[in-house]
Amino acid sequence: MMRQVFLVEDESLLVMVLEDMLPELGYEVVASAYSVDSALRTLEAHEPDLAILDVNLGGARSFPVADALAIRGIPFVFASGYGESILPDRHASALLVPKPYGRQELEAALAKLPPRRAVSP
Amino acid sequence: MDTPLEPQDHIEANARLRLYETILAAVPDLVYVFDLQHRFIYANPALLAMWGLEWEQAQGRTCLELGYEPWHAAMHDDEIERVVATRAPIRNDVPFHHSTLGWRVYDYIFIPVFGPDGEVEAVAGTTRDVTERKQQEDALRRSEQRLSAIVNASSDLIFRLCPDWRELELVGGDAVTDLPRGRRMGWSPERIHPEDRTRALEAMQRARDTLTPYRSQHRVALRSGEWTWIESRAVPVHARDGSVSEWFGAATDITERVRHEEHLRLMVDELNHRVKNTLAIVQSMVSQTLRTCSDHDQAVALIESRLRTVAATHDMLTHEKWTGAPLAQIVRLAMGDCLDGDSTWLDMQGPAVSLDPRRAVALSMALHELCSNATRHGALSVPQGRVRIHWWLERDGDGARLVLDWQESGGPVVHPPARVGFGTRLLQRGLQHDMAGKVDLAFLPEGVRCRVEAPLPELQATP
Repeated sequence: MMRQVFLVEDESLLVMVLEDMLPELGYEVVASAYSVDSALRTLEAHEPDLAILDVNLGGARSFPVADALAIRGIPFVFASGYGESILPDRHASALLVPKPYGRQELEAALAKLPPRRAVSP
Repeated sequence: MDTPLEPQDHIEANARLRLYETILAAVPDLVYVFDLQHRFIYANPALLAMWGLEWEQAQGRTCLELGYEPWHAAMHDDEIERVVATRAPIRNDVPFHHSTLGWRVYDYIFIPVFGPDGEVEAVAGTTRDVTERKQQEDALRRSEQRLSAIVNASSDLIFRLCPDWRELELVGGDAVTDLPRGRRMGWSPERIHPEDRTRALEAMQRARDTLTPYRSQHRVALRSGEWTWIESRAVPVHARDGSVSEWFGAATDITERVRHEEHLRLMVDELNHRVKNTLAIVQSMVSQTLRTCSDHDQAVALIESRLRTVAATHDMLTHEKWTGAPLAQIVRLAMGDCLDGDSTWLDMQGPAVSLDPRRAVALSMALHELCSNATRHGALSVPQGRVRIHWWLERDGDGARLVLDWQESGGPVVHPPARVGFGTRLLQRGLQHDMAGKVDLAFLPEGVRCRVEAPLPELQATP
């Protein structure tokens, strides 16, 4: 079964590209969100296996979404035009694919993600 | 009453006289005696040299008779009278013209000479040339005044520190703090912000160890409890023996500068983000176009015109300082390729609405796709074709909703496309994502219709 991906990205073109690319890499896009609020709402209704998280969502940082993913045990990779220095301490060890990224970079980053961690209810 | 002089005493008196004469001839100070009629009855060689006279020319003359200015002579007359009357010395200073040295400043003492009967029988005087000392004093005073003016005029805070830096005195300057000036107070590292403390203390230690100038940028606590950024400098002041007697320094309030630098850093970050995002958009757009368009030349043309639209939208947003863009302008810009002078085919109307940058880019790209599709297959491929773009605002709960309607007419009969192209996907998928709304695209036989509905934050609906 294909692993289910949650996209948090405010550029629709990137979402479109990822929607084309991810199935070819063996992933299924189950949901996408363009803002922190919509991402947090979407997470209430979905149980993705992993997430791709843009750091800058229309000027806001996506770290609250990263926190929510971490609490749920959902592994994620940051995508950003900033360097890793932008990440706060609590996410400093998270994976980051620099933008703009190609198919290989994305594939390599996603392959490094651990399986979803079981979280006791 | 004194006993008469014995011969023995006489010899001794003569010896004493020679001794005194020798001393008086050798001293650089001026020594003289006035009688009670204010006439010179003695003047030593130094005084004669000052006058440029021989004793015979001066003997028995008063100051006035020797050519002193009347006010000067009168001043000495008065002083002599007072010494006689009070039987006490007086001291004063006065400028006078030396015969060879020019104008000099003299400090003098008049003292009473008592006769055997205890009455004042003459007034003796000694005068010292204090020109150099006066000049030094004046220079020092001027230098102190100048220093004080610099300190007071300074927009820095000027301070002194004792050699071990445990005590601080704010000398002047109106910067940084309203703590009192000119009073010694204890200084402790607690005044430095905890995050900056280690760094600042290291800089201080280094300066004290090496006796080299100290420099540090850190936050200090104000009396109000707020933190303010300062740049602090201090240099050691050495005593004659080479030891450090104190440190002297200045602190500048750099809060504004630090804020400005932080702002610049954020701007650079933001610019970096935009550039990278734009590159990602271009990358996506190119790969999408190549994926859906098999004809090479057509793909190149499509990519070029799509890039032009993105670039033009960025120009427009830059012009608006990235706060947003008026919808009418977005429409006109997106239709740019088609708006070739004659625009009677276009019916465009709607209220003034400003869209945020993300929505502006999304909508201009979407409209561009509609326009380019109409040019190739739809209403704009024939002369009599028309495009109607109307938009309006609807109430939507607490906010407003933008409805934009694209309607083609007068073109050839429309057939739904065999496969979903980039433009269609951008409209349906992209616009929905970026506008957070609903997109309804219909390939009706009489013409393409597209309706976009998007909630607007309160701010964007300009009245």
